[in-house]
Amino acid sequence: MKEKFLVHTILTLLLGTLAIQDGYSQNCRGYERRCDSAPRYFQSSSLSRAVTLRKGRKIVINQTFFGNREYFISVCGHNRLGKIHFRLIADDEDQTILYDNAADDFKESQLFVILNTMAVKVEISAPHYFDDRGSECAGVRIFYNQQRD
Amino acid sequence: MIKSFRNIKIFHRGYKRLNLLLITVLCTTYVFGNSPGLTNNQENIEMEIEFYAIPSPDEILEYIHRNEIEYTPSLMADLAKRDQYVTYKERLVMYGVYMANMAYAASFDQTNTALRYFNIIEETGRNMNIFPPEIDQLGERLMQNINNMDSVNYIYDELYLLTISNLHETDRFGEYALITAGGFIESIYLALNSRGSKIKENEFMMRIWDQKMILKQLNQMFERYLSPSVKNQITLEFAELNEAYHQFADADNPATSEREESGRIVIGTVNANRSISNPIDQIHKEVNKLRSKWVQ
Repeated sequence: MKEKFLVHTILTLLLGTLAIQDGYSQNCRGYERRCDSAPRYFQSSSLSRAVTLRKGRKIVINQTFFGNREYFISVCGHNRLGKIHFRLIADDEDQTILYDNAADDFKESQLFVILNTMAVKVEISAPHYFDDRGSECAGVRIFYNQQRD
Repeated sequence: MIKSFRNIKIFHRGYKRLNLLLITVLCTTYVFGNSPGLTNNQENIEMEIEFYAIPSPDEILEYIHRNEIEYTPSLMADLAKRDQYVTYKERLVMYGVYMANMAYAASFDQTNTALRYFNIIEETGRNMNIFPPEIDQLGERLMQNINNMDSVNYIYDELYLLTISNLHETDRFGEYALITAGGFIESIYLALNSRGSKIKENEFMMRIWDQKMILKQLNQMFERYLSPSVKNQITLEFAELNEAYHQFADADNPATSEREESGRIVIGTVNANRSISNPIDQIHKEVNKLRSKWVQ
């Protein structure tokens, strides 16, 4: 009787943990702080975000980048995700790809000069992550530097 | 004795049933609760999750005024009237308004005023359950560094980021849209109405373009994330302001990017036809009108 009770309890706890772990989104809050920092003269932007990546999931963050500024963008993710694919896309009719880090050996940071204010999409994904069930934290960190007029 | 033994037996039988039920529910959650556990065909479809990140009120303020305006405290929202905002929508909009006021005070080194707004933001955030647990340490840190303005600015950034990332993480994008709307309108209001504001000058006019970009994304957020009733209400409230900004032409040319030798990538739109008329007076009027609807 006692053994049965023990087996029931362990099974319940085990399945409970698994269900909670997989059924709900991971707490990735603050993960973006693990991504590379910009040079010192840059300021941290409120546009930085932590995200949860899964197999076949692409995250697109719509943002406004102000003109006459330098932007430093860095991406990072948990080791298990492998390389992070990052693209900067102009949110205009043509959806022009302004930068693709796949052509840059999946470099995790890049410095941009934005001449005039524009709506952009920051797109990140983990193309080498093949775990069907899992999800891992990733982040996009954005810094800016106001250029002289 | 027999009765209590029978009770134990009933309890045990009940416990077993409950346990079985729990196991079944948990098994179902585990097996069906995850999107990747689908058919092969569905697995290959790439899922796109799209959301928005709008600059915070302090970034908007900093970008617009660039130290060209004078601190005008009479413009700021009256904290004594905070209890007059009753609906959830009003309180979220006011949360954004207070954030903009805190940023405004902090940008002019008005520590005590910034702290007063911080206290109300904290109270409002707690009441609306939009804070993550990490917020608790912020108040303490602010009190310890009350005379250090850099700390106040740093804590403002933390407060904003923690709130916004908590809303994102919990898929509360509608709430984020309303807070952002409040912060955006209040930032523009303060920049336009502060003493010394150079709204008629070309330099300021160029920044209308930037505001228009943000407004466009705000409208997209309203469309996507708000409930029909709140969406109708806010769309009506924004209609005339949208029209005023609409008088500013869009860029005709697509953006281009070019890598410099230093490794920097330069991005821009060539020959963007920015201005077809001078809508600043109309924008000014509509910003003030909307702000007076929201802030008592």
